[in-house]
Amino acid sequence: MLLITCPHCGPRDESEFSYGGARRIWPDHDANPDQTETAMLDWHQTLYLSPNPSGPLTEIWYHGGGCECWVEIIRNTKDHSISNRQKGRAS
Amino acid sequence: MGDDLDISTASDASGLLPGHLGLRLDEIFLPLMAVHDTAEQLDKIIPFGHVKSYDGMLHLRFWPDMIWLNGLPSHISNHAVDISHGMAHFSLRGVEALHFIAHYTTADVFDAPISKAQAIRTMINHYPCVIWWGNTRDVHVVTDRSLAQSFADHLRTLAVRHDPLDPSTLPRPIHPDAPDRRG
Amino acid sequence: MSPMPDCRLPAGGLIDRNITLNFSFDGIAMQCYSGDTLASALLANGQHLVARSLKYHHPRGIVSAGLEEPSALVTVTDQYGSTPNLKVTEVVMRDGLTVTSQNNHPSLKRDYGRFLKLGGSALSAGFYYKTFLWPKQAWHKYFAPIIRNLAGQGRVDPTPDHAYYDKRRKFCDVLVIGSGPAGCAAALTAAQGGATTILIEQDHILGGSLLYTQDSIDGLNATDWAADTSEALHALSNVTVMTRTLAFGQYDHGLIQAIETGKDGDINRAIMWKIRARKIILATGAIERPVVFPGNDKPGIMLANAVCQYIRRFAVSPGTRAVVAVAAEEDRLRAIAAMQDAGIEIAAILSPGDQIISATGRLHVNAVTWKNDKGQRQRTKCDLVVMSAGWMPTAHIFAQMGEKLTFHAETQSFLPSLPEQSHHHIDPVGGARGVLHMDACLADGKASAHDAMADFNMHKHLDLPRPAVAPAPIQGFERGKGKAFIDFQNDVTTADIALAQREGYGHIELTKRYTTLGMGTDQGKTSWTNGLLEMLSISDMEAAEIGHTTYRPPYSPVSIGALVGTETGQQMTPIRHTPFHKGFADLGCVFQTSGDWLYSRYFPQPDETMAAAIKREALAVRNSLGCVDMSTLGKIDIYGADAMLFLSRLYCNDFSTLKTGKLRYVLMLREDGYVLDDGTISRLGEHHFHLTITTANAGKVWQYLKKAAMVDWPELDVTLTSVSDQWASLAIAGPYARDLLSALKPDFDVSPAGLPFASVRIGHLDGYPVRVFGVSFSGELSYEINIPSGYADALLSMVMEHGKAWNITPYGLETLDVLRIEKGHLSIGTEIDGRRTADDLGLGKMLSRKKDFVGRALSQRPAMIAGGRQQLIGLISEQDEPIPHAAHLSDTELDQNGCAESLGYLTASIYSPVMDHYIALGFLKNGRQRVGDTVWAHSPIAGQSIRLKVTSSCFYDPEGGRYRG
Repeated sequence: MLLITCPHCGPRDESEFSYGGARRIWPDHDANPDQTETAMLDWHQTLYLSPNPSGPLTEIWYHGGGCECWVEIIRNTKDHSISNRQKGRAS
Repeated sequence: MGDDLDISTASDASGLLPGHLGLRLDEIFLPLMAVHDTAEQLDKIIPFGHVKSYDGMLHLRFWPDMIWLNGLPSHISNHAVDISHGMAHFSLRGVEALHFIAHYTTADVFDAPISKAQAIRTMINHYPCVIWWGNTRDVHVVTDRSLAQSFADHLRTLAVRHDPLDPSTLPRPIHPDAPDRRG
Repeated sequence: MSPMPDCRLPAGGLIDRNITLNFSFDGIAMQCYSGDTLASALLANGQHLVARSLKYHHPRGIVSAGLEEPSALVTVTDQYGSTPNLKVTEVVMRDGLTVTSQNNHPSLKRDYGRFLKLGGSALSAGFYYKTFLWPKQAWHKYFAPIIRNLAGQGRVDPTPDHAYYDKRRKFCDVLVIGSGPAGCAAALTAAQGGATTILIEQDHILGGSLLYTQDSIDGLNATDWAADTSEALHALSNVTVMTRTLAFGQYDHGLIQAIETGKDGDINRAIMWKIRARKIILATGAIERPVVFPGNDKPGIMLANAVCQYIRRFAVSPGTRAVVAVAAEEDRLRAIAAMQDAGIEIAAILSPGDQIISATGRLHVNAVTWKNDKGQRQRTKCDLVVMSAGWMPTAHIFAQMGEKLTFHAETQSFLPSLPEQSHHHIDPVGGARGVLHMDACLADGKASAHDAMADFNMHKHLDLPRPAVAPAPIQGFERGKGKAFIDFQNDVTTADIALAQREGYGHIELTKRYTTLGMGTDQGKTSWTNGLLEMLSISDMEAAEIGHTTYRPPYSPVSIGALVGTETGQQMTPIRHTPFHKGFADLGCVFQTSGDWLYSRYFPQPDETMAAAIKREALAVRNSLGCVDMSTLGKIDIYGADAMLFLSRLYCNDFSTLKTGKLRYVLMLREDGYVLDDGTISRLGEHHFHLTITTANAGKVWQYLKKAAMVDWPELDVTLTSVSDQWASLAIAGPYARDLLSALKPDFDVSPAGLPFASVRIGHLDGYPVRVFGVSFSGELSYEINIPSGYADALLSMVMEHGKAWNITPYGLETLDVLRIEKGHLSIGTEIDGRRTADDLGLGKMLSRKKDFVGRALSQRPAMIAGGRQQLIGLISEQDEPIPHAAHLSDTELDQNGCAESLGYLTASIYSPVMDHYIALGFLKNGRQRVGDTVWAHSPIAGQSIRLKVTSSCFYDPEGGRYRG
């Protein structure tokens, strides 16, 4: 059970959270519908080819057992150390 | 909302829990309105992670951009959503009420910032709950209405597993015979 | 029968001679005192032979005095039931225990299994890979049953377990594991410094090695010092002392899990503790290493520190005439002093460098033969052999987080490396890192606690020096030829290690699995280092190359009941009840769990079968009037200037023209273009919407909406409030639904013009605030009445009372499903299973061409829009036979191998009451073009193959006249 530092609630047990995967920046909405091919490649890239580092990974967790917000944290995939000191909402 | 309409309870919690701790669990209807605003605006009213009473109305702030109010002050023009029937409010009372719950919360209710605020939103085992207390003998718990009966049954299951006379659990954090100063 | 020999010393020991406890071993009545373990109790009664080994059925005795005990496993029965495979050293004696030995027949002394040794080398490591190969059938018929009887240890008690288990949490600044000198010093220091401290000790009293030493601390006898320290720690308000608590695993970020057993040593009342500490001080001591020589597994051959413990702590004499084979001088002198105090004759003292030829004896050791450094062969009779080759740090908990221990030649053991980074949560001290002398342990514990306090800024850094590790004796003992045991529990010998090397299984991971070295319930506590040293001596590998295998929790076997706690039966997970639960129960409802929820299933009348009830309920809805609970749907209140924009990005169909008071059926795609969920959006105002989500996806979609609002598009002005439990929802459905609604005293117009299909009205029914939605899942005229949950009972009463005129019939999940299948409506998990595009489901036209929405881009991928995809269709049985569930659809019969090409499969299959016919829904390749065709439905599980005709997926009222009223 990880100890995850929620920027609002402080350090909390992993069981209060659900995992949301790597932080993904989706392509802009309201893109020109004619640009289907480009949009497909952009979405494909973001959805399937997001970074999978051996090291620090920026990811999002939903703090359902606390502030009910999505929070962004940086977790080292090698040793699970969590290193974010951001305050405020994930953005 | 009609004032004379009967509101059913969500659970059958009323009175003593089984076991030797002498805890009482009662369900009491608590009108609640959910109001959203920016974190900056809400910070002016009540800090994050606190429960406070202003103008005789309870304010609960466990979300950066949302606040629960026990009532609806007239000066609030923001969109307010009634969630009174979506939540079940319990009163857990007894000499060791908070210490009993503390065995099962996923966060440490005696950790300095939380014991100072005397309020937290965390989980009691698998139940997400809002918890606040004026003193450790009189604890308020709010959970989803649909979980209320299951929650009450779960507290009953847990309560029988505590034996204040078990010598290996001495000294008790608060002696079971300590006077109950609820007043 | 001769009386039990009395091996109890006349005085001394930390036992209470005023309290006599009775127990039996293999039917023989015995007695002991309070404070004894089962091990000391058996030895006090002269009972050394307690077990037969796993593979060879060698007679075995008690080797140690702790959790490292490899051989002496027994079954203990008390008033609650029996527990197998307990180590005699871990059972704290209480009155009335029945103890039986394991793995022997017909008795411990006359075990038939002893004839296995005639199998000799045929039973060496890995023998089961090379034997029992032929004939093939003989394995199941002959060999397996025999082996099953011979193998294994104790038997599980199959009676229900009525013990109280629980799982609890604690938090602290400093957690000290182990209460020997290092642990006590650390706990005292941390506590006196003001840290919240928890001290965990698996024994029932504090002290560890201090309980059997003659040393002094601060002028006080060490055992007395331990007692004083225990009192002091118990009195401090910032300290929690937890005895009978075994820390069995270390997890991320300072989490330790431990099992606390009942106050009488009763393992049937156990609590699992999850303890989160800012710093863990691991003071678990060290385990003594056995000496490897032929015959080293006989009863009466014991570790030196165990001999000291039995004499000093339990006042038990483990023998009368001893041979001493202890490598380190200090340990040797300590053991000799204890034995002399107990009146045990010292027959011989071997020196390091001597070669031990063998120990002999049938059921108990009776002599030792060795060659001294001059090469002279010597032999002496004895009934006790005291052995020690050195010490191995008990660093398992440290290593469980993946930190490898490194082998140090100067200590001849694996040591934990002290990590440089300060974010490591655990610090091994004392014996757990190779520091062996008592004074050094005291200093090490104190220094570590000071470091922890400094890290917390509760103290300034004192930088106290950490004592050096104790070097191993320069020389060990040599051995003669013959079967010398390395792993007592799994009967692994030096010959097995050599065999593994010869056969190519020389890598540490392979050797372990091929020989089963260290794979017993003792996880190699007394065997692993000896195994490594053996490998070093016969191969040319370096110690660092060989390394060790992965340490995993639990450190010692723990009760599964404690791991479960209260999470069994009705308490297994939280259960959600709908607001109509009590009212429905009063109507005779049969409930079932569906996901988180306890859901109404059907409402049988007296003596009615489920099938009959479903038929009655379904026909009532189609012909007259029914009511069903829809409260489990997710409901979200959405408000804001950008609320419409927010929703239109998430849902794929066009609804920008949706007017206030109207609602629309909507479809949500995942980012990858597959259908995720369906629901309804109702417009309550210009910026105000009410969204419904399917029950199964309620939690998931709520989180997803929040992510979209908070993470993906934080610039949008939209607020989300969950009102899922706020509104109870009862759907009234049937041709008379509007009549019933009128009878409920609405304060708004419920005529077809006032409340048409796909609209919503806010008002009151007989004074109760409601929202009434014109939606239909059943296909009949239907209204979903939403009322604040606390008034659900009142609504149900009203509905049942006024509905009598039309024979109102409550119905549940079963009938709900039948009705929606007749209409071809979609359900999560069956049709919407995450692999279907909107077009597969027949909803392709819903995808907007005017706006962008989540899933649009990837839904255009060639494979998703290609021809030949499986499409939703209906199926009807030509012969009107029942249609097997989960059948595959094919154009061909099954071939001689029972195979055919699958072109699709069924998602639902029922008897349709309204059509009086068997129908099904399913997916079929190019299904919509094949309406009218006949196909095969094969269900190998049901052993059925039948012919089905392909139809449209909507069987009933395809024009929709009935639900539009």
